[in-house]
Amino acid sequence: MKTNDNKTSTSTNLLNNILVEIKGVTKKFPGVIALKDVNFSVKKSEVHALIGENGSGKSTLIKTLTGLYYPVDNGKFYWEGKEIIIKKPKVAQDIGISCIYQERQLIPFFNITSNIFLGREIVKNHIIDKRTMYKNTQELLKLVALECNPNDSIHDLNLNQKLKVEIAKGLAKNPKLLILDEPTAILSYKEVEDLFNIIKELTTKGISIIYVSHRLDEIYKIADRVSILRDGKMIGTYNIFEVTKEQIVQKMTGGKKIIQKVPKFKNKENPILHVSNISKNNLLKGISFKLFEGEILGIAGLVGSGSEEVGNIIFGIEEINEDGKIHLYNKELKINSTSKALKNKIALLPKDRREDGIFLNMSVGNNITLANLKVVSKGGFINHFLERRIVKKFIDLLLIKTSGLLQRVKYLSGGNQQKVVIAKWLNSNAKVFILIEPTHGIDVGAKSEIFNLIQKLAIEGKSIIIISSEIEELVKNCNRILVMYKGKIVTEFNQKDATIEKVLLYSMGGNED
Amino acid sequence: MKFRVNKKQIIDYIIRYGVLVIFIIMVLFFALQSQSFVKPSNWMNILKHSVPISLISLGLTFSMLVGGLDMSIGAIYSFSAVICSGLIVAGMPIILAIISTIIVGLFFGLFNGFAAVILKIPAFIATLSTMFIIIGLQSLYTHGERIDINSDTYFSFIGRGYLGRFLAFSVIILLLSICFAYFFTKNIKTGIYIYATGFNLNAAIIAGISTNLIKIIAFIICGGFCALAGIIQASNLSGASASSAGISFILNSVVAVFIGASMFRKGNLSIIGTIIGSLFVAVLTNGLAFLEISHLSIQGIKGLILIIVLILNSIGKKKFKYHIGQMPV
Amino acid sequence: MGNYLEDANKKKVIFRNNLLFFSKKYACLIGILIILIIFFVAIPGFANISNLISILRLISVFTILGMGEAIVMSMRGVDLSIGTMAGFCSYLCATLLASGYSISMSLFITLIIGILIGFFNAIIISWLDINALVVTLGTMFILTSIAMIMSNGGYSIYLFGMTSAKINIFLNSGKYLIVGIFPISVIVMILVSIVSYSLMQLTIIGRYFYSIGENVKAAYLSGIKVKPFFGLSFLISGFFAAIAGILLVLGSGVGTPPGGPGYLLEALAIATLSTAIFGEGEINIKGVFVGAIFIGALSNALVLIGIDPGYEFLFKGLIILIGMALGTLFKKESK
Repeated sequence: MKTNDNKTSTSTNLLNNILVEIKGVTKKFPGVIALKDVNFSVKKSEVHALIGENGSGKSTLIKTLTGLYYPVDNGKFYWEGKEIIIKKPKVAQDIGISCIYQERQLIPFFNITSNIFLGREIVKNHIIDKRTMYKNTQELLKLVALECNPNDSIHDLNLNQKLKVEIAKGLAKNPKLLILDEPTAILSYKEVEDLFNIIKELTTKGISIIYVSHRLDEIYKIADRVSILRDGKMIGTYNIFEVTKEQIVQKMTGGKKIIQKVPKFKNKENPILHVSNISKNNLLKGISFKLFEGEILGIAGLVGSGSEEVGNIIFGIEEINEDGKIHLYNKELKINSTSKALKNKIALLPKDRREDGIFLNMSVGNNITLANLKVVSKGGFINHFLERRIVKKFIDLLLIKTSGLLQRVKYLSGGNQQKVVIAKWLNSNAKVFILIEPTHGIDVGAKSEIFNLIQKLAIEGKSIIIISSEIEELVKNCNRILVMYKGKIVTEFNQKDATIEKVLLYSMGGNED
Repeated sequence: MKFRVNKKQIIDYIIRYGVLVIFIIMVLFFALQSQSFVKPSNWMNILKHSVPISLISLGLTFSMLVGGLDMSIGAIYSFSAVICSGLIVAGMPIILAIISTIIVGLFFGLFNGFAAVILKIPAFIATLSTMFIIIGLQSLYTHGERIDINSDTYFSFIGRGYLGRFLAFSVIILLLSICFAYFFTKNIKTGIYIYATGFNLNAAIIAGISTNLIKIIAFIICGGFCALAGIIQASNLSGASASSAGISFILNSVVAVFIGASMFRKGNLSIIGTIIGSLFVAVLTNGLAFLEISHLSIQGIKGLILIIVLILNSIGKKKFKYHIGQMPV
Repeated sequence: MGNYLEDANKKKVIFRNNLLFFSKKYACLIGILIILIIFFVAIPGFANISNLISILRLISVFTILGMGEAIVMSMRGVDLSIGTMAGFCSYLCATLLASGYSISMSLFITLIIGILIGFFNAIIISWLDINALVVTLGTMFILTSIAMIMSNGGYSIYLFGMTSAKINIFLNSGKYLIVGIFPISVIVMILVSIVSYSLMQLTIIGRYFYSIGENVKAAYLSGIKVKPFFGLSFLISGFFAAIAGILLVLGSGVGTPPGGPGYLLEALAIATLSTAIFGEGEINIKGVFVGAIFIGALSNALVLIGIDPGYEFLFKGLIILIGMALGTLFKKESK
């Protein structure tokens, strides 16, 4: 049964015990409407899960609540029945809204107290009042069940303890609403249990929690209600026990039917790549799979699934564990550096292409040829004519808008910069391409261009691994999809069996309890 | 898994306390080599001589904490000695001369901070150019001549006076400076922010700290300490000449800072560490001089120690495969 | 009608953009030229051919060091030991010659030692990932010490006093003039500059260097072995220092053990200046060369004017500051 908040007035707010409410909020950015007329409310002392795919508007919604996105184009905000305007982060904090992000923001060699009070130290006559800060910290640590001395150095704490300190930090401002953004991404099972206990404690003290996550099993354990966003619209808010996992996924995707664009893949005989037993601390547990020649393999994984790490390990950016093995055509590879990976004809397109893939102050031409200078050079000297010819070929192939191959890449638009990075790797004569979030930050028009390119590569016999959280794209374009959740491959889909709902369900842990 | 962690911890402990052990061994070694080394008057002598270097190293610690190695510390030090002497000779009251000199030092620090933080010139180059400018100014001011101060004035008390029989006044100034630096960085917001900015810039920014301002303040403090050192030295020598205290000069302070860093966790900079490191360098210099080893050779030994300490500090630090010893951005 | 106005406006915009681009690229160069012209015109004795040649000879040593330093700095490294390495190698070369080694043997060993010292730097810096600034600071002093020991306390070796035929040939070659006016040190300087330019602009290694300096993580992710290449720059720096050292002893006839940074400051000055000179915002070899000429001319001019030597330091400092500020400005410019 849906809880419809459309006609709630101030008194009803208090009656229903509603802490914060947003009504009819719309937020636009150039080229996209992130939130469309969204109604959302959180009750006092509740744990309210917020679910949505990439681009559903989750993070925008959170940012309007924390004051990072102001102003909104339409809509009103209410706090305990009274209308409010959240102009900037400080206002949100003063009202009582606190958010814990994924990036760890602790100072390593300071102690717990200094970290919690960083930037807001309590002073008496310009001197730090250590005694009061110590006492306050003690109380906060009790709240989060952290048995440490406030004078302990952050350095000595493990990841779980550090998370608790971050939460304590968030609680230091006495918030009434605490927003947790994917808090369990790197936690172990026991640590998640720990976190849930803290959350339950907090709610008994009257604090409400917005729990942003995609992990269905966890949401069912901890949340009271769940709100689902899709394409910027609030689909609905439900009591957690009145809706099944499949229903949640169905509402997230809207029952979209996909026309698969990828041609059927036949050759299952030659595994070009065989990966076995890759593990990494908490992140990956015994990953094994095969990749065939000419195949487009998708690895579907949301935040914290470990999918990205798999790519990094195969490409040599991160260390491979002792038991892990990578075989190329039955030959075992010892990849401990990116140059080794490239020598073995494995290429990787990083997720953050602008930061990690491009050289802004170098020319378009120099960027494109960088991964394969041997081809345009002789005896160590670069043949500029040859280089020019090859660069022109790629500029035409990918339709890169530039005033010439000598133009510095920093003057290109974002989308064209992405194309330059792609061109660089296409030029590298690799046989295995690992693409991490290939369409992240790319506009719609360019997206299909990229997938056309990927298909062309596959037809030429190259093998491609697409590691992505964009489920729809994977279902549309891959021959086979592996789904990862919490560091394991939980299932595999053939192209004819894959639907967005099924893949999404598994990547959210839908088959786990 | 657990065993590996312990091994790293063991190495960490070895390095941290190893430096202390080596310090003690060094002292014993020198004591054995030369009778006069052990005399208490020599101890106070060592301390006295270490004052300028210790103060400068203290200043360098501040600038390094925010990520920049101030190359102009020698020049500010030398120029301060010159200016202070010059002002006193020109008739300015001593107190005023001292204050003016400190202000000059603070100003150069501000200049460094401005170039490094606002103009975003890499700190090492910015401070290098300041060094050039100061050396130039110094030369123009003195025309190569030494400025002599009448040694009967109160001024000489600063560098050469004693309280009681053994306690040198300059050492008291050093102790006060250390107390100030320590108190400042542990109990005053700005001081804490300097450490925070150095340890985790992003976290500091997110916490709302104006990191640019903090960095400039760190450079200013560095300049101030160098000026103080110059004043003491001018008092000690009753005057000053435009020595080319250029790059060679910073070796002592850099060694001091890094020895200090190795004594604490994961090779992090600290005030106390730097002071211990300065003492180490002072004892080393004094002891080697007693053994009649030439000045240049002493420098070579310090260079070697520096490299060894750097290597030890880097053991166990997590390094990405693309970390290669570049200068910080 | 409307189209005509549009075109005219477009042309104006393009012209203005081109003018900006052109001025950014050549502003510093023009500024330097203007200053040089002022020197030519206003300073008596400056425009003399022999004076100009002596400027070139003056700068030949530190230009080579500047090239080496620029190569290291192109990847955000720095080599503070380069001046001392040059001094050390000059002393070494003199020692070898005085001990009776043949000219070719002495040169060969000196060059090898230069490379080895560079290799020492390279290992500690790039393999162990330790900040280049402090490591090379240490190396600088270790070298001065070793030279001290080798020279028994700092005694120079005076080659021109010796009677050996080999040594005389060596010293005389320093006086040979190529093309009638250029001493051999200038020719070597030009050769080294050409080699540096080719290395940085025309070879794969140079391309890798620039990309490592621009974005080391992206370079690594592009499959470049960043550690060895970064280390390579220190080897080159050592090699160039050895060449400069040989020119030093060739020019003066004396092998002096190095007591300090040597020509380091000049090398750093011209390497950093290069970022501004052609509006590139990056270290570039032609900028180093032009910068060297500028600094050399400036020093010469100041000496001719008879101005207080303090001004030289002052100007150098201001020039570096302004140069770097401009360089950073040029680099940050975007649409």
